[in-house]
Formats: sequence, C-alpha cells, structure tokens
Amino acid sequence: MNLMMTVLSKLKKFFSSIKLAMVLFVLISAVSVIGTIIDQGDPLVVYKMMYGPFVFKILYYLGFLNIYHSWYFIALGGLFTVNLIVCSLDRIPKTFKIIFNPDISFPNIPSNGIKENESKKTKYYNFNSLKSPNEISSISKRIFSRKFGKHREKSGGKQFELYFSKNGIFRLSPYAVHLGIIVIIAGVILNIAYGFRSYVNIDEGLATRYSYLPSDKNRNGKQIKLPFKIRLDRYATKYYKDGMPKAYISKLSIIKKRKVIMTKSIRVNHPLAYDGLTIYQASYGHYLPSAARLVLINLTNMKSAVFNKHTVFAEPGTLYDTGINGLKFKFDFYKKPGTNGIPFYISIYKNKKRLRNINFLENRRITGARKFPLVFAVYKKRLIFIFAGVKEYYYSGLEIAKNSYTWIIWTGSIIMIISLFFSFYFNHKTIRVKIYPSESGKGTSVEILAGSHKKMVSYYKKIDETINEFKNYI
Amino acid sequence: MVHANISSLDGSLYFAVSFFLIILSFTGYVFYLLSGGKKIFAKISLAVLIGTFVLQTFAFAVRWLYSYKIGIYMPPLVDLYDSLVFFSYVVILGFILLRIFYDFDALGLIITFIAGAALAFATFSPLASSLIEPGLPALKSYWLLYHIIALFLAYGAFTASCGLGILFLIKFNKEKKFQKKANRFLNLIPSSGILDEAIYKVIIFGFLLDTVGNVIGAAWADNAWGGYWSWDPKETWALITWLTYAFFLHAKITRGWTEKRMAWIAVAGFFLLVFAYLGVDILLPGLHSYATPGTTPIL
Repeated sequence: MNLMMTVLSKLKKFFSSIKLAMVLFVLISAVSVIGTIIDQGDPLVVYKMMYGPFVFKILYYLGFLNIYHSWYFIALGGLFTVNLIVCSLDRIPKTFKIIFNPDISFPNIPSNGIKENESKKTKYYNFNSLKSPNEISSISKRIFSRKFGKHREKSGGKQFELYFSKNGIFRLSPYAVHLGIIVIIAGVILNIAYGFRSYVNIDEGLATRYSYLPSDKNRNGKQIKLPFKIRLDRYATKYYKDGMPKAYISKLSIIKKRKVIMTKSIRVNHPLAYDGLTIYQASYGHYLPSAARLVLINLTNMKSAVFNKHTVFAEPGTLYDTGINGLKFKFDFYKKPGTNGIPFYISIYKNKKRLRNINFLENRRITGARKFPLVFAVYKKRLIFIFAGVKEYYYSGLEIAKNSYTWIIWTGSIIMIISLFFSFYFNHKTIRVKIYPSESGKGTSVEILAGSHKKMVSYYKKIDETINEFKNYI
Repeated sequence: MVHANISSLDGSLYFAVSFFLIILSFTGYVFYLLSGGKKIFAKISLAVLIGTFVLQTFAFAVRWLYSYKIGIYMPPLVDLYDSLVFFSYVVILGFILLRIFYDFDALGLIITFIAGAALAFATFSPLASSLIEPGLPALKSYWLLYHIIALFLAYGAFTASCGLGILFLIKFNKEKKFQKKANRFLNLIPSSGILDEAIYKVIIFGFLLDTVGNVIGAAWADNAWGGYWSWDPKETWALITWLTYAFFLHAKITRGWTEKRMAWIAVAGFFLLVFAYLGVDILLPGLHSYATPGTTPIL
C-alpha cells in the first residue's frame, strides 16, 4: 500500500512537471522533423525504389515512412496531453489560494536583505518614519490601492500587515490556454474517431454512391457508402489570359431517391456541405484522351431528303468509319505543324491500306457572327470533315470529408488565443506592507515587498516611482 | 547576365531603391558604433529607415493596384518575392516600433542587416521573381491576407528577439569581465536586464500572432483542402517553431533557466524560423511550396 502511494506520488510529480513539458516539446519537434525529410504516406513500392530494399526495411520498421501515425509519435502526443492535464490540475488549487485566499502575513526578511535568487522576483524596501503606524497605514492604503488594487489587512495592536493585489484572476489564464489546447486535442480525437477524409474520381456525366479512404500501404482504401449519390454534371478549368489556371470548377448534383436534391458548383476554397458531409474540389484529369469533334458530311448522297451528316469524336491515331462503304479515316497530328498552321490532318484508309492524307483548310469568311474560323478538310468531293473543337473527357477528383467536430477545434483555438492574450498582458501585481513601531522606540518602521512573477525590470522601475511617491508622504 | 527585379510597373523598382536605403541606414549604424555612440548617426539611420518604410508602403500599394489592373485581384503576398519584401517590411516596422519604447540604437545594425539580406535575396536571387502572376486557385481567398499578415508580424517580432538575443549575449558575456572598465562599444548596448525583458515582450507578441496565424491557416486549409492539418512540411515546421517559443515561455517560469539560456533560445528560434519560412520552400516541396508553383497535384 505504502509502495503504491510512493509510486503514485512519484508519477504525479513526473507528470506535473514543467520540465517534462519542455522535454516533450523538444522530442515532438525532433520526431516531426524526420517526417518532413522523408516523404510521408507514399505507396511502399515507391520507397523500395527510392531507398533500396535494405534501407527501406530499416525505415519501415522504425516507422519513419508513416511517422505521424507511429506508436511512439502517438505515445508522445498522449504523454503531452496527460502532462498538460495533470500539470494544470496540480497547480490550479495553489493558484486559487494565491488569488482568493492568500497568506497575507509579511515574510521574515533576514537582516542582510533578501536572498540573491529571490531578488529577481521581488524587491524589498525598508525605511523609518516619524509618523504613527495608524497614519502610515491609511497613507499606504491611499497610495498603493491606486496601482495595486484592493487590499487585505492583518493588524494587531500597533502592527499592520497589508497585502494589495490586482489582476490576480488573470493568474488563471495560462490554465485557460491549456484548457483551449485540451479542447483542441479532444476535437482532433473526435474527428479522427468519427470523421474521415475520403476521395473519389467521377467522370463527367456519371454519378457515384461510394468514396474511398486513402490507404497508406497501397492506396486501395476502404470503400465508404455515402447517404446520397453525387453526379458530376460538368467539369471545367478556367484560365487567366496568360494560361495560368484560375479556377477548377465542378458542377455537382446531389441525388437522393432518384431525385436531384441540389445542384451546386464547387471550386477550391468553395466546398459544398450537405448532410454532415463536405465535398471539396481536390483534383481533376482525363479519363480518356481528348478527342477531336469532327462533323462528317457525306456528299455522295446529296439528293436524299436528309442532310447526311454525323459526328465522330476522334481520338488521335484511331480508325473510324466514315459512313461511306469501306472507307475509314484516322485523325492525327503532324510531327511538324503544316504550312497553314493547322497541326492536324486526316488519313483515309480502305481495307487497312492508307489511300492518302488530306489537309485541313481554314475559311474565315463564312464564319460570320460566330467569329470562329471554319476548319475543314475535303476528300474527293465525297466527304467533308469539319473540325468542331476538342472534346475532353474529364473526371473530377473530389474529397468527401466528414468533419462534424471541427467546430470543437475552433472553439478550443479561440479559448487558447484569448487566454494567451490575457496571460501575456494582464499581470498579477502585488505589494506587501508591514508597519510597526520601531524597535528603537522612536517612530515607525515600514517594510515593503513588491513582486512580479515575470521578473520584469520595467515593473520594478514603476514600483520604485510609487515607493518614492509614498516616501514623500510619510 | 545578372538577374534583378527592377520594374516601376510592378513596384519592384521602389523595393530595389529601398534596398539601397537600408544599406545606407546600415552604414549609419556602423558609423554610430565606430564613433562610440555619436547620436547623430543613429538619428540619421533611423530617419532613413522610416523613409524606407514609407517607400515600401508605397511600393506595396503600387503592386497591389497593379495586380488589380492586370486582372489578378490578389494582394501581393503570394510568391517568394512578395514574401521576402514583406518580411523586410515587417522587420523594419518592428524595429521602428521598438525604437519608440526603448533606446535600442545598437539593434538597428542587426535589423538593417537582416532586412537588407531579405531584400537582396528578393531583388537579385533567380528564385524570386517580382512578376505578378496569378497564384494557385487555392490562394484566392480572403483568408490569405489575415494568415500572412498575422504570421509575418510574428516573424518580425521573432527576428527582433533574435537581434536582442545577440545583443544580450554580447553584453552579458562582457558585462562581468569589464565590470568597472568603460567599454565604448558595450556602453551602446542597453543593460542585460532591459534586454532580457525586451526579448520576453517581443516574443510574447510574436507567439500570440504566430498562434493566431496558424489557427487561421488551419481554418483556411479546412475550407480549401478539406483538412485542417495535413502534416505538410510547412505545417510541421510551423508547429516546430511554435513549440520552440512555447519552450521559451515555459523556460521563463522554470527555475534554473538563466537569462543567458533564454537569449540563446531566442537566437536559435530565429534560425528554426528561417528554415520554416525559407528552407522548407526551397528544400522540401509540399502544399505551401511557392518556389515551384504548379508542380503539386493539389489545386
């Protein structure tokens, strides 16, 4: 039993020390640095290639490849949290006593003044006066209460012990800072436990009900079933004049029970929130190579009532049917751009044999109001190919996150910031005064002890000024 | 050919001029120390530095207006050049403000050196370009302004604390040796007690704003990328910087930590800060990388 008590009290001492906190600051920083040097969370194959199998194994077993989730980093975080809580709980009662129920009796000062190591925290004055203790007591109350707040008093006979204290309540603000950090940690833990960051790529025009958690090992993360379907109606990248991307925009529809509930465009910095989930624009890409939109007009058949045309989305280098018996075509790019500046051409094939290449022409006159040049190619008065732009097959990479507890993190942050402000700029000011008849029998002795727990030089200067003013009165 | 960012259009010309003003001010402080504390040199240097500050304010206005004129609509706080000139700006601002409260002329030498170095890097390094280019779409947000201003004010304060720390170490080491002998260099440095207090006051200001800036950054990341924290190298180094100054604050109230050690933390903290600010971007690419825009898959 006794042993357990000793162990417990030693544990408490260990966890409540500021030195442990300082050691943890250093350790957490040191471990974090490793994670900034070695890229984190890449697929294992990449590391094997980068470092070779031997070094890879060492790094892997040390946990360096996923260091922020390693057991020792989490342990450091846990230790930090326990330290923060125990240290605060251990000190709060003492601080309460200092604020609300301080020991107001004047400490015994040795005849040769206060000790060297105390001299930085407190300043001691003593002098004699011819006025009576009673008079001096009322003068000191008048002078000191202005700068040092309300006083408490302990007097017996002709001896007065006065204790002035101002802003004492702000001694609690460092604990409030700690509270803020604990709230932040609680929010982080709740978010990790009940939230997720999942990803999904949706092709334009398609809808999905699932997203995927990233997995550190091979990116084949767990599937998450969403409470609704997301459809990507359209994806577009907007550009500045100089070609730099300005915005990546996905138009999304939320579908529930086959009904479109809402449609909204999202872009970076402007996510969509619905039903406890937030959808962010994360990336984009092509799920198929871009294709040329070619309108084919069949001239062999002009007499028919229907104007004979159809559209082909031609990927470069692939054979497509022309609609005329046996004739096929291929859309492709020149290795060097042609003379008229149009970089692509059409090849006509029959029975897998190339017959000829035809160039595109540009006619600016017939474009008229659309201000778009008409780019076309003609094959033997039988077939016209009109180039009608590029068809891009985009997918949009979405991040779907559940972060319902981030508000706790922001609440903690605000508590932390406000309390930091008060803990920095509102200092507890105290002054102790002892007034008693001189031992020599003549006049009155006055002793003053002024303290600042932050050891500030300028504070002592101000105290000096106040004391001088006080001296003038007595 | 020497690369230099000097254009009147985007305001970099005025920053280049301010660079020479800073050199002038630095020279003034050198003369101040060499002459054994002739006040006139320090006064001229301070006046030149205030002029530099005004000129840089003007240059920022020019850059900002220009960015609107060419249709980019972003405050000029986006790329490496922007951040370096803004760094020199807040460092100078910090010194001028400190100078109002303290008789810290000797600090001017260190501050003008650091501000000058940042501007020299901005003006002449091939890594930094004063061209106003649209940043990544993720930067298009009103969070940018508050995030950057809070953090850079903190950087300015931490820089000042490093300068004060250096002065403290010079003064403190010699104070004992030359106790009685008058040393004209040392007399120009305020007493170690005043320096110690100033280091503390500057660091608490920096720490408060560093905290604010990082919280804003987390909120912004949450809004733009869907996560308040991603262990991106820049974020991690911001945490390390924050922990370093948290260490300082806790050391302050722990017994046995002398002022001398505190001054060392202030100096060391600055080097960590410079790494977090520049080293990370140049050496460790990540979400915040502005040395090589457009190379990251993140939008």
